[in-house]
Amino acid sequence: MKKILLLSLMLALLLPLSGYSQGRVVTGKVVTAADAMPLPGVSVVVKGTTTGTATDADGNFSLNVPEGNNVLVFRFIGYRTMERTVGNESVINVALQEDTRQLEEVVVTAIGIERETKALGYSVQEVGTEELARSTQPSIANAINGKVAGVNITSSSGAPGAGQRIVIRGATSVTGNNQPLFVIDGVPIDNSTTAAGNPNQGTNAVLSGVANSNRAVDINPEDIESVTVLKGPAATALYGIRAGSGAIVITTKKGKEGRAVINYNTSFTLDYVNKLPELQQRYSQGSDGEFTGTFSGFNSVLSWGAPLDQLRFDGQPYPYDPNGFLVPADSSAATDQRAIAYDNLDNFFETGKTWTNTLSISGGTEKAEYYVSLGHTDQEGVVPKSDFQRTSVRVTGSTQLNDKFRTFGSANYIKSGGRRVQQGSNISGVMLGLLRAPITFDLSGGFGEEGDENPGAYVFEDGTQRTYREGAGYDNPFWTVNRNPFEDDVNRLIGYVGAQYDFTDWVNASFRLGTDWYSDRRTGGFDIQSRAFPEGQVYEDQVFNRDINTDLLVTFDREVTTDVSARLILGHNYFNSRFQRLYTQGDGLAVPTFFDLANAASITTTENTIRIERAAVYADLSLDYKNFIFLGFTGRNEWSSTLPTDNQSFFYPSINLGFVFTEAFDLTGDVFDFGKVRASYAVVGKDAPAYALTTPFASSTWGDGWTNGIFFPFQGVAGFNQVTQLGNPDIKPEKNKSIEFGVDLRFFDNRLGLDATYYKNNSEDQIIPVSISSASGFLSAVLNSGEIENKGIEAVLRGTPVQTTNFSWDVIVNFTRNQSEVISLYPGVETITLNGFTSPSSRAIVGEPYGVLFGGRWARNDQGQLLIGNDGFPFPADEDGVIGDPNPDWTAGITNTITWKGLSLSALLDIREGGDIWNGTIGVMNFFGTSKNTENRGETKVFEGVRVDDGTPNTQEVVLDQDWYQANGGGFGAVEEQFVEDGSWVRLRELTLSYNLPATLLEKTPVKAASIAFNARNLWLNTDYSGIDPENNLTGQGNALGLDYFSMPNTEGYGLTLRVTF
Amino acid sequence: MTLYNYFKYILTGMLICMVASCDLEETNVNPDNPEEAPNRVLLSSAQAGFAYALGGDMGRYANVITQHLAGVGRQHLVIGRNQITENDVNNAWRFNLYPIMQNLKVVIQQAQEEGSPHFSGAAKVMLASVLGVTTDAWGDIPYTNAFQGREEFNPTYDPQEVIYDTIQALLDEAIVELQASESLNTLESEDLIYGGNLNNWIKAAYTLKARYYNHLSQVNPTESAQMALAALDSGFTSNAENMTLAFGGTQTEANPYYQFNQQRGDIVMAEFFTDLLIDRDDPRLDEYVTPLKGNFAGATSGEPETGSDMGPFVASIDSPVPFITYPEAQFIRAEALLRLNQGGEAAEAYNEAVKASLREVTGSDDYPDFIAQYASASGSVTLEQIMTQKYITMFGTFETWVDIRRTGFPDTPDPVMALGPEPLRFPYPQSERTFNAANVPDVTLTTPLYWDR
Repeated sequence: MKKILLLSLMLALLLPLSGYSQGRVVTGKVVTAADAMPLPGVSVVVKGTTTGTATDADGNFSLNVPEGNNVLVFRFIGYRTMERTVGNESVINVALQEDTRQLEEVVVTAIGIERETKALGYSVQEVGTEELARSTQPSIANAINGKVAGVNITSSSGAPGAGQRIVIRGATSVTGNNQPLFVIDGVPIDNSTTAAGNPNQGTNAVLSGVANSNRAVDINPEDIESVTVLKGPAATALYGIRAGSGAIVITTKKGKEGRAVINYNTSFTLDYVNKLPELQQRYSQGSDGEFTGTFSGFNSVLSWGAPLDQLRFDGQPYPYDPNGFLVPADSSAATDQRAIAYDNLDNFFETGKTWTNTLSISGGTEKAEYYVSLGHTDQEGVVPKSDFQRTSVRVTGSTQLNDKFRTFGSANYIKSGGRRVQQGSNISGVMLGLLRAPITFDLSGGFGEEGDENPGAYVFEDGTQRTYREGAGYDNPFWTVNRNPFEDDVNRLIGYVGAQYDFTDWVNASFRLGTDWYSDRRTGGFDIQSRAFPEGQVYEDQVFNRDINTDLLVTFDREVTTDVSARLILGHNYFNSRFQRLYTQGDGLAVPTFFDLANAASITTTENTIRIERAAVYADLSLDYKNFIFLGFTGRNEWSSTLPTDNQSFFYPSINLGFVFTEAFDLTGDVFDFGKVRASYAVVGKDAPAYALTTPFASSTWGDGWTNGIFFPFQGVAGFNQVTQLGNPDIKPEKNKSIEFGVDLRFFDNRLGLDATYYKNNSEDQIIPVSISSASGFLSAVLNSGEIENKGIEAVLRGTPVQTTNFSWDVIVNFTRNQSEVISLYPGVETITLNGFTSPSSRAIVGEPYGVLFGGRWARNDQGQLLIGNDGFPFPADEDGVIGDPNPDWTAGITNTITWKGLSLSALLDIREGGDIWNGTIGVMNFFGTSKNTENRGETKVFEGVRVDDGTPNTQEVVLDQDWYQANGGGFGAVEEQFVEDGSWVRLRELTLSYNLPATLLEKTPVKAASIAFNARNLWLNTDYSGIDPENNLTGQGNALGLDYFSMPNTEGYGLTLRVTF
Repeated sequence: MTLYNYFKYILTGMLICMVASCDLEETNVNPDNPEEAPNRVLLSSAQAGFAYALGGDMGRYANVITQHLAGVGRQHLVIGRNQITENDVNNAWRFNLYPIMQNLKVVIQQAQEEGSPHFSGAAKVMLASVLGVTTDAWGDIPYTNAFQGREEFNPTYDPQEVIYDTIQALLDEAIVELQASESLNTLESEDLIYGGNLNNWIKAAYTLKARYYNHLSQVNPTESAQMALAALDSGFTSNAENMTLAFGGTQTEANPYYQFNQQRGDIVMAEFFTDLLIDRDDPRLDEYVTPLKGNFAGATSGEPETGSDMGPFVASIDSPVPFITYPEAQFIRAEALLRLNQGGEAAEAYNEAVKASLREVTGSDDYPDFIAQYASASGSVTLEQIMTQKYITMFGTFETWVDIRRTGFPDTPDPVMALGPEPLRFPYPQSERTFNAANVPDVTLTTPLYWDR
């Protein structure tokens, strides 16, 4: 908005207000190419003359053009200049392309302060409406994936509503929150994830349970005008603690002066599973080469039976297959009917559907403006019965009460949630049940793709579950989607009110009160006969979160001398957050499929409250010398409730410098348009988690890692134990020190631009719950120690190789390379587990990159050669070690956009090089004999290595058989190393073909603009990873990375989007 | 929230916190976790936690090794083939045994501060028995230097011999404290083991003393027997005094074996033990073993095959988990007497031990044929007889693995596809190797414990 006001002002000054030339009148309309919105204030000039005008509020213009062959030039800040030959036409309508290469671009920085990019001494990157619109995914985090250098976004899975792990410039906190702060119109909002399941499970809850949302999913991307990513501490210094991991600053759409504009857009997408592990197709259920059926105890879950071509059905009644039991082909009981390999995966997964509709009305007068939107997203997942819905109502407005006083406000109500499906390391997890199922067992019970709709697929008439191991084993996935429901229901209100008062033309004060409230009610359970909870379980989990944030700013902005201008902002911030969770679990159901606490035999309840309060004062001084040296200082003093009284107050400063050398030395010429170098140094603090100072008591639960365990109250008696984390009354804040250098160079009339940044980040005095020997009495102690270093390069290359009147080709390349190293932890502490299994896990280990995978390895000699035992097989090393680095070496996003008249084709190619993933899924499938590579069973192999006894090269042939895969060659053996795979990929993340209907076509209709687009997502993926799409992360938003254990698959999608403006 | 409150917040935020003098400390008090907890709720938690560990990993792993049970799936299959890893045992050490001991230490300290010797005494009995199980699994373990919190993150390991002295000393102190005439707070219904019956606690302490003396049968055959017998004189006199903890009829109170079988199911009855029962026509068979399609059949240890599930006595939803019982006391008596060459008395104790077990498991000892053959020794009895019957009696317990390592009876066959010799101890857990590396003793699975000679 400000952009437009600014420009109108400039135009008024620069343009001659009337033309006297003789000629004829040309009229027309100027709209945006992206959404066909009318553009007011566009300068329309006859080339080579001073004759010109500006478009009115509806984008219309009328101009006297001299006789002759004339060319009209259309100019507008933020858009590409366009030239059109007049010829004999009297009506010329044009659509201006947004120009992402603008020199004078204004971006939103911390606390909603708008700054010219030119003046910044640090790196920020903006993603505009058009780029956002190309993603039709419901979540904003997906919409910016691959489009911002320095930002790594990993979806946890393709499940509806599944969250994303967003890491900007590497993780800076060992065990703290490394997710960026989300800010909407200057007001921070909550983007946390509350893992489903019993909160007593702690971080383990994310290894099983359902795919959780992070709460940014509540934002309707259609409401967003632009997203600015503040990457380093220098950029976020004013936000303080909460933005210690960067900030995603969202500016929403606002009303514009003029008549009401109605926008409607609808998109419909079909989603398919994009990649699954391959199953072997040759061997039946059973063990030791014999088919055993479902009554054979543990052997029922194995696929080590006879080859299918040697088996025939016996035609006798067998409740698990209408064709009967399988017998050897030469058996007297055999019929002619051959064994069947059922395609359980194909039967199970469905086509997902996403339908999004947004209707918005916006407009305004000189004094007031408004924007109202109603959005609805309805997503059905590729897993049957999984879905996600979001309904969002947003109202934003502002009023200029008088020429000094302006008020503004916004309210956004969101209702979101859906039905989620059990996943991961979970007896009910659908991938676990599917991928371990023998191919000779038809999970759908003959119903094929209709298995989810027919109880006969998963339950017998007597109520017992129909699955491939009688009485035990895993849930039939069709059972899980029907009988183990999980639903979440979020009601959220995000809003702010604010006012700004201009005391003089150089002093103003503004105040903003923002609030973010939500309740998240999760209900669900496991039906009677579920394998994990045979007696049935029901739970009711209520989460309530309330954040209040206020900012008071006083801004002084004036020229000090003719060469120097200064701006000083003094601010105060207050933040108050309260998170409450009440989890109630009922065990032992009386009535099947009735999920109500009243139906449970025993009830346990856990309460969890987190309260945090912070206050801060801050100052931001910017100096501008001759518009080519820009110097900025910030300082913030913070008081946090989570720190001990003595250390409660802490201060951190930053300094940044921007130097436009092209202007200083007057270098601008034919080739060089603009050149700037910038440097900054910043410190950002991070406080402790709540309640880290003391060691209180908590109600007890006891388990053994295999089972659900027992909960107090037990037998009617209360039981408490000391919490296992030793508090620290002397804790002090973490400090993240960052240095950053960058260049911003533009060439060839701004058709080529490079913005590159080098940064180095050292986060010190980490507040870590350091794991310690439990013989100390505690499992961990909160300590102030340790350092992580992140350094890296980000580069954004923008180019326009071809640009003619009707045709343009634009390229944007985002490159990201971050290297992290855990410099130190605590004296004597070499490793901290972030999350994962007992083995493997993702860890912080001194001297290694953050998050490395740690687990069992093969025994090797000093030269790194595999040691081969006397049996001819390699064997596990005595000690576990680092087995992989899940951090990518580099990532790049390459967007090519080709525009020809109203037609635009855009493709985002996303490259990730490196990044290991532990494919725990395949390891375990090896054990069960379902993985494709176990088709080599019975083959011989000579392991390359040296004999452990005499050091000679191994030549012994060994047989890869069931024994091998069920011991060290499988996922339950001790060697996780062998299942670590390279997670590199090249993918066509987005492909969009859009067409703007020509204005001439719409002239006689009430429709002002219309466009139609075809979108495809993930339509091509090239990777060596043998499991599902390597873009997955079992632990979701948490700090751990690179764990794939029966994670939900990812999806590809194809959709159509229609946008209409009235 | 009313509008008034809302403005109050803003005012608090803006005005009071402007100078940062607001009461942020109050905000940092966790409303869900009390800063203090009375001994009665700490003790009940420790009791149930230890019972869960005994019927959970500790008992389950031990019984796979002793071939009461057969591991037929995943990690338990590997354990059954004699390869137990530092990951397998991590949970029990790190999340059960040491935290339980820490909480018992807190009880003892609070009890001493407030003058409640009864709590201190009961906690010491518990602590001695947790220490006993822990040291009999791993040998040298941290104790003297442990439970110091911030003072010592890397506790050193005490030799097992010292741990054994500690166990006896704790039990001696406990006996005195439990007999105290005054105790500010005393055990009541929250005591999940004895419901506040101090006499039973004292008898349990004596019986435990006997167990840990008797463990030293190879270190000092005579003295260990004499000391054990002396302690037993004040020990259990009937099954009614058994030190056990009852589990409940609901999922969140369910017996650990029951939970494992329901939720994991990677173990079944082992062939060796099941055949022992079948061959002897043992009356406990129905209680120990669940028939599989009408037959009692164990799985061959080391083989991933199907077999009978555990029976109702040990693996029902509400089956109690024993810490120490009267039948065990009688077996200890028999063994000690035999070592002192008092064959006749040993035989009597043996007969009573078997009958007591029958009564405990089946509710009756009216099995004339079985009694005649297996509980009618006179004159003398062999160590193999005693230990074989004790092996049957102690099904499901961790203690039975101590017996088999100590005496070699019964002689179990090697599992098929064995990955090594039968383990003589648990490996030190991965967490100790990671977080306390400098102190962890250098041993292998086949390094014998102090009492194992």
